[in-house]
Amino acid sequence: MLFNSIDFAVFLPLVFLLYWTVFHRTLRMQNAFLLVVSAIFYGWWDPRYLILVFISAAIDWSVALGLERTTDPRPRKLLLALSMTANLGMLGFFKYYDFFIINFNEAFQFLGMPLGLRALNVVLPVGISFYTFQTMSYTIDVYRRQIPATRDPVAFSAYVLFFPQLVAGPIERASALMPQFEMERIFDASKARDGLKQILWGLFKKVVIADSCALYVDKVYDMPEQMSGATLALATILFAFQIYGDFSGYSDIAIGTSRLFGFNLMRNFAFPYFSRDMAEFWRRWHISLSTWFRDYLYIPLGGSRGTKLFSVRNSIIVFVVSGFWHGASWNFLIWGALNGLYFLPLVLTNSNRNHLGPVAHGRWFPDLRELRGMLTTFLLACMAWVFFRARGLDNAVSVYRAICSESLFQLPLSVSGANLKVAFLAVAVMLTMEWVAREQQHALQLSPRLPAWARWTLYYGVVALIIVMAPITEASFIYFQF
Amino acid sequence: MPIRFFLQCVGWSLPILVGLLVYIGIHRNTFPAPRLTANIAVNEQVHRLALLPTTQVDILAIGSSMTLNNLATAPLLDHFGTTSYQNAAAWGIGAAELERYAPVLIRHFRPRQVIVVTNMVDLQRGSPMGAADTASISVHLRSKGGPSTYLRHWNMPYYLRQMETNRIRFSDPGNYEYLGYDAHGASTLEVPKALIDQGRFNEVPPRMADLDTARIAAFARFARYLRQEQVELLVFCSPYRDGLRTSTVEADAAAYATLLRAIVEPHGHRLVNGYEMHWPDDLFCDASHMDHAGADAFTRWCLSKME
Repeated sequence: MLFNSIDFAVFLPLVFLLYWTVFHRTLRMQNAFLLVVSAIFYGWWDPRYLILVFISAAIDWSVALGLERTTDPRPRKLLLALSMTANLGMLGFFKYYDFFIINFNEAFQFLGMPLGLRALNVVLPVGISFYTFQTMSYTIDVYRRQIPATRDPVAFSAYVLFFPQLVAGPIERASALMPQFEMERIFDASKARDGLKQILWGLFKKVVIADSCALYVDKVYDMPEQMSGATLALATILFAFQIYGDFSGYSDIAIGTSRLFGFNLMRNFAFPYFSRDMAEFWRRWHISLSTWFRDYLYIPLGGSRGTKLFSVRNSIIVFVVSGFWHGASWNFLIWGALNGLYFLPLVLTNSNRNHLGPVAHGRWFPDLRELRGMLTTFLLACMAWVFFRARGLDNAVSVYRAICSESLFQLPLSVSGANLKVAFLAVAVMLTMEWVAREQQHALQLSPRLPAWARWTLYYGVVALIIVMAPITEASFIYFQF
Repeated sequence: MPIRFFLQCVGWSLPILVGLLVYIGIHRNTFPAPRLTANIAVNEQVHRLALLPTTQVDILAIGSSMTLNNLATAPLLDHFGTTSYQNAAAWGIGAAELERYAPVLIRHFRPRQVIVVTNMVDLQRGSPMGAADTASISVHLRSKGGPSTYLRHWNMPYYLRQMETNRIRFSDPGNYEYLGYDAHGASTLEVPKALIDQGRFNEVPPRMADLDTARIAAFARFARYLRQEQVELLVFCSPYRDGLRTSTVEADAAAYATLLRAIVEPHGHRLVNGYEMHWPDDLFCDASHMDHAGADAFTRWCLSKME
């Protein structure tokens, strides 16, 4: 079920009412109800793939209980290995099997030893990269004795399948979310109101920003060989806003929806395009994944302990693996590696933690240095987005070649069906709103000093923009493919 | 408490709902047809047909903008001496779409004769129509244009946008997208000479080599289907304006008519080739779409040739 669909517009109020009026009496009822509606939400796409989610949940629930029962390190390691193998095996099969087969075939063909292995063209179950990471984090935390294992299979399954964040995150840490499933939720009107505002802002970013930009980006990137450098550069910049609107919009809707049900999910985006360097960008972009890799890969690899070279190696590994997490293609690997390279000078000069607070704190406008930093970071991110968006390496090379040619100085083409004015206007509205609210959790957390009429005008204005400016097609979310 | 919050939410959405309803109420005449397919003209035409009180017509015209704009209603009614006639044409209904679209309409209206006005573009391209589209059309026709179709095909941005565009589309025959149907579904253009789009007016006709073999095969299946259904097909080949008729265009037009004749005549259907006559430029709004006078003259001429 898509957040931006009529189905969800009916589903959400219905589930909200039933949850708080019928199934609110006991914790068990609350969890059981959430589990059932989450299964319906996920099964709306294809119920067969629910089996995989339940298998993943069952394995990790049992392994965690096993981990708690024994203190002997050897069986504990074996149990952890079992969970890792099952989760990564499932992910590897559905997401990476064909990639490896195709590349092995090509490599051995090149060496004159054709293997003839057949790709399976497996359908990637929606959200598999997200829920496998979430369940693994639970098992690892139990293994590290950071959290106790839960004995309640319903609460644990509800944690894994929790519908707002099941298919595209935020990837919640068990230590943060699991306790919320073990404690009865009590309705909090102010929390629900804030959730509603965040849903509204997320919808705006998805249906107005992302979908408007997509109309131009998709057509240009469909045939980059025929486009001028200027057109491709514009499409790449619009893609930067498309992917931000799409993914952060999804996260906002997920977080807002969770708040309606009494849950607090972690923040996933903190206005990343206002970052002053790439290190800050990665602290503000897809935070739940970055911190996951920090906690479960970077630190176990040794983190920043040891020599500079050791630290650089660990950072590069994390970026490359993170790229590969996004998709089984060389493009994503290169995208990850390129971001790692951006990060490198900051690590080497010890300046990767220079910008920890919000930009232009206490001021209306950034100073020139901050502005230069933000623009440079945005351009670097855009250069990397080419690999993320292009359909293959050839495609990406075509884009770079055109952007580096003299056709960069021509006027960008207009594309039929894509209204650039609408896209620019929408992006301008978003950037203005987010700049004003850059020290808040989301753009509609307006200052209480603002008069009520102004706040309501803004809320209704956003609704009007969604109704008037949304493209006609009901587009899926980009991150569903991961 | 949650109920109160829920009611508050309903209260907050009321101004939006009321605003939308008022806006729709003011512009209700331009409210678009349900979004059955991605083709706006098909949606409007099907909705009009669904709202008709009758489910039987003797003569049905189907096809692309050639049939919609170049087939005038009055000469047809005069010629056949009946009012049991509907024009179900819409832009983008090329040969491949015709094969999908026609059976739905023929099952619904059970006509004796079908008229298709066509030119080479119909065998070159169209607006793809899938099984889901024809299923939606069929359901909507059966529901007699019932409002439930709007719920099944709900898309608020689409309806609001089309309402704006329809203000011109439904009222101005000088607009190339004019959809102000007459009582029988035709929509003849009347673009003022000064406003004729020169790009469209001078568009070079396609060549025979540009035709799509899959579309030719689809047209052949359509002709065969009509014979099986015991429906007679009348094909009128619509000409390009005289100013564009070079020797190459003439040769291609002749080859095109020969091709269609070879497809339809073995099934007992008939074809009239509009290229056998010269059509002055001032009867056209662009290279191939005629104005009202042109459509009237062309239709009369085709019908006279049938005798």
